[in-house]
Amino acid sequence: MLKVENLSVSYGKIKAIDKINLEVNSGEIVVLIGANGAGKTTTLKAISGLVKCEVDSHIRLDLSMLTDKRTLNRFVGKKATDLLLKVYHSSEVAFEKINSNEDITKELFAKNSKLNQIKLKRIRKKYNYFVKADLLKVKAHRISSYGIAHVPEGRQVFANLTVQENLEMGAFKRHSRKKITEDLEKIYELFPRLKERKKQKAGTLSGGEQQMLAIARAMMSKPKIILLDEPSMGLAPIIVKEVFEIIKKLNESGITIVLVEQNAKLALSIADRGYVLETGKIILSGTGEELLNNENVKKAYLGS
Amino acid sequence: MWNNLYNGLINGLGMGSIYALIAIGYTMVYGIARMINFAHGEFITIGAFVSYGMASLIGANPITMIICIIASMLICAIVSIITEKLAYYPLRKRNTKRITALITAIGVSYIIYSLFNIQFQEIKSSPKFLNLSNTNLTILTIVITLVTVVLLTLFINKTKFGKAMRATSENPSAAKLMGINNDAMITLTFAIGAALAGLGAVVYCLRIPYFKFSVGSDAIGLIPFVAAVVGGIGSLPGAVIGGFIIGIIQQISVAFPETSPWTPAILYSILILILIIKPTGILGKSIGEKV
Repeated sequence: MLKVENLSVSYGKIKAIDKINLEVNSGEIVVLIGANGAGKTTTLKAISGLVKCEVDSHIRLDLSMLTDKRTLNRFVGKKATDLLLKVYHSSEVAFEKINSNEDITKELFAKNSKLNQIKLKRIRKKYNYFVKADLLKVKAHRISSYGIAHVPEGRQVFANLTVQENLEMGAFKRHSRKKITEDLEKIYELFPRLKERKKQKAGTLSGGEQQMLAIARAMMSKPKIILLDEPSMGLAPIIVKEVFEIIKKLNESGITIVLVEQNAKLALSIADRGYVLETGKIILSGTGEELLNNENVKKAYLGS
Repeated sequence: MWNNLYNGLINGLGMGSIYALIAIGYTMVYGIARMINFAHGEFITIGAFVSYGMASLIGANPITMIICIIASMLICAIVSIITEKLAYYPLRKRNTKRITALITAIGVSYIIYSLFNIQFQEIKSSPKFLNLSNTNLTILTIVITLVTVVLLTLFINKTKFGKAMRATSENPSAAKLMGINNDAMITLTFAIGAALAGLGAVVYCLRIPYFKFSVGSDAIGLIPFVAAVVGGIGSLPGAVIGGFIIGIIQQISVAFPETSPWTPAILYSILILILIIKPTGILGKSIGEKV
């Protein structure tokens, strides 16, 4: 689903990450572990466009496995989506038809004119552009439209906005008021403590609540991939456990998760696969279990 | 004595509400772009000339005043968007130091000033939209300011874009992750600030019989900026309170022949005094409180 190729990022003369390659498949939990300054946060920031990458770096996003209505809406816009759904009744069929090479101008527009052919061409072009995107060519504020949400290091909730306003900001790119309200209700069900505090300013919440809010805010954009940066930082063990329960729940609901974590043991125990970073390079990769049992990982990161 | 004080107070409330309108522009731009837009005063000049030009085309009466206000706000907003895109946006894109943007703003200010200086040498008489006594005019000005402030507060607190503006001002990179276009939010802020200056300009012209090209830089000058700092730069209610405080002090001082020549010295002494007591201004919060 997400493929990082040859990614390098420098801060001034210092190379933060150096030609790393990694891959995230749909539905996985992928964990990046490593010491401070190994380049984990920078990798996530590169994916969401917050840092500049060097030439020859690529972050390829493949969304061709997605066939839901939201995805359709995201790339062709509301008008074309309505038309496609009217003709084909389901988004799966619509995607199949767009993806195939047959001439569907007549089915779609009822008339096979030059203008309609151009319209169809444009839809297909947008589809290809969206489905096989190089994220490095996408501006940071558009990344969320590709179904990627980033829960940044240190939570970074909007302290002067209320809890509810924070959540609304998570849904900034969505338009249906009705659906946003529905999702707010779902979020409040999942995080009852946020509901109690929805009118409170986010800055007044405890660290654990802020972490929950940051995750909930990311969920409001209805992402396909969530990038989580150190969700356990500065939290009491019992709350860390709670946060990881939520991460597992998110993953079970079909969201792919990329997790950066200091707490390697806990992170690897829920991971499908993991990568070990050291001074900007990937030195080891494998399934969560393999890494947990690897002697070098044990020595360096698991403290045993 | 009491007569002077009364006149000073009435004029002060009138001028104060104008300063408040203009101070909002300084404070909002600072809040979101962390820069002091020293070219902001020039939008008063632009607004005054637009309303003069419109009034000489369509006449001056209460109905055309509304048209002139809209035209003035619109043109100020457009010019502000253009200057933002031409002068400040390239700097922001390259992550230059804040001092660079500050100097650029001073440069933009002088460019607009010089353009008006070259084009309009002679003194213009203000369009006579209304025929009101000083007290009624002051009441009208205060009402205009309060309505504007209420509408603006509602926009910032209740609408999606207003909330996005606050989010951007607080944490630009987190706002980006939400899909908020920071540059668009900054441009929007510049446009709103300039539109308010345009409104302030038309209202100010109701109070003065004549104006010339230096109306924004000399007659009003940096006083609204002082008001924004006194109220706490970055705070919207602060700008309004600061505007009224500075306006009232200035006009009371002007009303007495003994203190009149000292007015600027008194104003700036108060600025320094308030900043010594509370360095962030009356309602300002110190920046950098991060959890």
